[in-house]
Amino acid sequence: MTSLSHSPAPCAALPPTAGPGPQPAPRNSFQGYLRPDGRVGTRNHIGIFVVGNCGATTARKVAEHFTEKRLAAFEHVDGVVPFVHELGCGMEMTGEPMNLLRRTIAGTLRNPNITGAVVIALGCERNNIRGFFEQEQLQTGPMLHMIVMQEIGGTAQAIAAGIAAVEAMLPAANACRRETVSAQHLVVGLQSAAMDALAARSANPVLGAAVDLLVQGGGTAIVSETSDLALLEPEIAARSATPEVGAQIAQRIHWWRDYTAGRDTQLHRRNASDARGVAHAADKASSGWLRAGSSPVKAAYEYAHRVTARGLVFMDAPAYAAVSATGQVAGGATLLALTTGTGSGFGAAAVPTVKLVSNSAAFARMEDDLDIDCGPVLDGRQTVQEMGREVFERWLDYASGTRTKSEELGVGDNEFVPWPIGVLA
Amino acid sequence: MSTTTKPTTPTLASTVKPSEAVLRNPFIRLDPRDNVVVARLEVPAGTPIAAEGITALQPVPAGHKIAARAIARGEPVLKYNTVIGFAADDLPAGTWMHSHNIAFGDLVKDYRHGLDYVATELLAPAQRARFAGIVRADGRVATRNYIGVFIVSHSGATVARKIAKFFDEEQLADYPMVDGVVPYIHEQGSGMEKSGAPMEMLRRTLGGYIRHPNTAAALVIALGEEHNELGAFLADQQLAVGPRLQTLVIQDAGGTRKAIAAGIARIQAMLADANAVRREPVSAEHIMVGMQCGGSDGFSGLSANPALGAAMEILIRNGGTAILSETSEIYGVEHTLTARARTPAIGQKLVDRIDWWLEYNKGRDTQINGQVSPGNNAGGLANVLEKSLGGAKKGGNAPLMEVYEYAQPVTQNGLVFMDTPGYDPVSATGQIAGGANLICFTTGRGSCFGSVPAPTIKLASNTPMYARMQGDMDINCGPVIDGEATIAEMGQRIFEKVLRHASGEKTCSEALGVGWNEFVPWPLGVAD
Repeated sequence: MTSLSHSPAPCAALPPTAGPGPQPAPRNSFQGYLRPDGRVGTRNHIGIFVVGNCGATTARKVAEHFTEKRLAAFEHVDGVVPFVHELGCGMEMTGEPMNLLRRTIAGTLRNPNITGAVVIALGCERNNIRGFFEQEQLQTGPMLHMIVMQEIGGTAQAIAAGIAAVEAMLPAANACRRETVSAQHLVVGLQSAAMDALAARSANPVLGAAVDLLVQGGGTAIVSETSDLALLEPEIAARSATPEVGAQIAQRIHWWRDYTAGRDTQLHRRNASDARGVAHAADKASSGWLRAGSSPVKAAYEYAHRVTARGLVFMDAPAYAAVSATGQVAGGATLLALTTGTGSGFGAAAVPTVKLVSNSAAFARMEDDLDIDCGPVLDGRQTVQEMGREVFERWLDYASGTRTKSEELGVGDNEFVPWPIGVLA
Repeated sequence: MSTTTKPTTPTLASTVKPSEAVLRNPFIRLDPRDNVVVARLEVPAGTPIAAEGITALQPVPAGHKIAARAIARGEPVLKYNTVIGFAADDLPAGTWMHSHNIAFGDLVKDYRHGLDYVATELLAPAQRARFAGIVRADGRVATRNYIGVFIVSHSGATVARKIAKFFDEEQLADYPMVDGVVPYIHEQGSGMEKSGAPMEMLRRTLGGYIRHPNTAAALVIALGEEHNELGAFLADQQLAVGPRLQTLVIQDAGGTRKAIAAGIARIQAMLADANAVRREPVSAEHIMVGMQCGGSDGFSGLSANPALGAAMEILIRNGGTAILSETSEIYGVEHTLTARARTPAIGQKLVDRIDWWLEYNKGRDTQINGQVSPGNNAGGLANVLEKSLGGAKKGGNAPLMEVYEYAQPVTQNGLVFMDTPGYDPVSATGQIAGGANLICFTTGRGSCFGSVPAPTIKLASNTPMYARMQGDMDINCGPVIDGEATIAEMGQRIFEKVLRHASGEKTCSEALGVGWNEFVPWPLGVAD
C-alpha cells in the first residue's frame, strides 16, 4: 500500500515533462493531469461529498450553484459534482458496512480526477464526519473542506459555506494543466449493462482486445461483477497470476454464494432464460469474461480498495453497474468502459464512461447515449482486433479530454452508489 | 482553510437567560419515583441541587442525567419510572449518569396485550377542527398538489431528475395550484432480487407514492431492461395508464436526451388538469401525520416528543391519524404500546415485528443491540432504551389501533404503528407511501430533513438549537424546558401549526427546497 495523500489530488507541483516529441506508432500516450502521488487524472473536478444522506440536499444545491456560466472563467475545471448517497446513518456503526462506505467516499475523494473536495455532514450521523476523517487519514486543508450543518446553523448557512469553499478552491483547481503521459497511467474499469447475446461476438471481445492493448502498454484494467463471474470460477483461477490471487477471488465467490443464498439473484437463476436471448447465466458470464481480454489477473481487491497493481486486476463488486463503477472509481479508475446490448444511459460521476454497443440497430436507436458501435464486427466489416485498436485509441482521446456522450448529456450526478451491504437500523 | 466551527454543547446560557426557576433547580424530575433527574443546562461539578438534596460530583452536560440518590451496582436506573438500564457500579448520589456507568442488562417485559385499552372519545363531527384541503375524486384529502416523476429502477435517475428540474418557478408560473414537479429517485430496481420481499416492498412503496392523495399526476420512467420490469410493476400495483399516469421507456424513446424531451412534453400535458383543483374547508380527520425523530438529544424526550404526543392526542380526538414508527427505536418500551392495543392480536403483531428486527440485526452494531448514534450519545442518551422511551412519547397515550408493515396503505384512524427502520428518510418514505400527508419530526441536535409530496414540520427540543438553526426549525418546544410553557400548551400550539401547514402554509424545509433527495425506499435485499 502506498502512503495516502492527505487531500484530494491537487495539481502536481512537478516540472512539465519534455513534451510529446515525435510519436512512434502505435499511440500509447494521453494528455492527463499528473497528481503529486504520481497518479494521473483524465478530468479535473471539484467534488461535493456527504457522510450521510442528511447532507444530500445541501451538497446538491452547492454543486448546482456552479452552472456552466459561473464556471466559464475556470476553463480547466470540468465541473463541480455532487457525490450523494443513501447511506451513512441508520446503519451499523462499525464493521464492514461502515468501513466499506468510508473507504468508498475517501477513495473517490482521492481519485486523481478530483482536485478539490467539500465534505458535508448534518453532524449527528452514525458515519461521524470526524471519525471518518480520522479513519481515512484525511485532513482539512486548502483543497479539502469540512462543513457540519448543525454547527454552522442549518441548511442555508451550509449551502453558503459550501459555495464559498468551492469558490476558494477554483483558482487553484483552474491552475492544473494537462501534460503528455504514458498510457500506463490509465486505469480503466470494465462494466456492462442491459446486455444481449450479440455482445459475446462483438462488444465484449472488442473490449477484451482493447484491454489487451492497454495491458501491453503498461496500463491497468479492472474487471468486476463477481456475481456474474462466479460461474466461471475455474477459468478465472487458471488466469490468476499467482495462486494467492486465485485464492482471493475464490474466497470472494464463496462469500457471494453465502450472501445471496436463498435469494432470487443471478447466482441462483442459472437455468433461467430471458427474452433477450442470453439463454443461461453461464453464457452471460462467459460473454462478460471476454471483456477482460487474455492477460493474467495480477491482483484481486475487495470493493473500493485502492488499486496499486498494473495490468489486469479483479475487484469484487456486484454486477449492478452503478454500484460496481462506484467501487472501481473509489479504487482509482479514471475511465470506464461499459458494454451494452440493448442500450444503457449510464455515466459515472467525474470519470468519463465510454459505452460500447453490441449492434448497429441499438446504436442507431440510442446514438445520443452510445459512444462506439461494435456492429461492424458482427457483419464482418471489421475484425475484433481492428475494432479493439480503435477502441483503445478512442480511450486515449477520451482520457485526454474529449467528452463522452454521457458527459455531453450531463449524466453522473445520480450515479455514485456505494454498495449497501449492511442492514438498516 | 476549514469552514467548520467548534462542536457546540447546547447550553441554555448561550442564548437564553435562564429563568429563576431554572437556576433554582437546574434539573428536571420526570417522575417522583425516578432515581435520576435530567440537567436543563450544563451544570459544573460541586453545584448544590437543593430540590434533590444532593451536590453534583462531576460536571453534567445539558440533557444528561445525575443520580438523585445512591444507586447500588446492579440496581435499575429509573427515568419516567421506567427502567433504562442498570448501575454498572456502586454510584453515590450526585454522580453523572451516562453510558459509562449504565449497563444494558436483560429486561423481562410484561406485554399485557390490550389490557389497558380505552377507546378514544372522538369529538362530534361538527366540533372537529377544520383545515383547507384538496378533496380528491376518491374522497381522500390532499395537503399538497404535486406531479411526481418516478423511476422503476435507478437506471432512470438522471432522466427523471432532469425532467423534474425543467419545471422551475417560471415554467409553473401559470399553474399556481401545482406545488411542483418532483423526482422520486432511488438506488433500487436493478441489480436486486427479482422476486420476494425486497421487490414487493419496493413496488408497494412506489405504488403508494403514485396513489398518494398529494400526487396529482405521475410519470413513471423505465430504462426498458431492469429487474423491476415496468409492466410487471404496474400490474402488481394495479395501476392503469391514463391521463393521470403516464409511462416512458428510455430505450424505446431513443435514449436519454429524447426521453427527457418526451417526459417534459407528457408533463406539460398534465399541468392544466393538475392545476384545476381548489382548497376547501374539511375536517381534521383527514390529516394523517407520520411521526419521526432524528438527531435526538436528552431534551427530545422532555419537550418535543411529549408535546408532539399531546398534539397527536388532540388530532386523534378530531378523528385524525398518527403513525408511530421506527421499530428499532421503540424496542425496550414496546410493552407500553402493547398494553394499549385495541386487541391482543394487534399487540402481538408489534411483538412479531420486533422479533423480526432482533433476528435481522443479530450480531450487528446497531441501535437495537444497544448502540445509539454518536450524536445521540453526546446529547445525553445512554442507550437505545432511554432513546426509545423518549421516542415513544411522540405517540402520546392514545390506544394503539393497528400495526402495519412497511409502506402498507394505512386505513385505520387513531394511533397506528408502521414497522420501519429508525433511519429517517427510509422511515418517512414508508409512512408517506402508507398515506401520511404530513410528517412531524422532532429533533434535539437539529435535523435538516424535508419530504415530498407530504411536507415535514420540524420541532426543536431546545431553545439554543432552535435559535441556531431557525431557518430549518418550524416550532420551538424549548419553552417547555425553559419553564415557559406546559406540555399541554405546547401540544395545542403544535396542533394549530399542523392545521396551518396542512392548509398550504410552507414549512421551513419546503421554503429551502429540501425533499428531492430524501425519498429512500427501504433497501431490504441484496445488490447483485
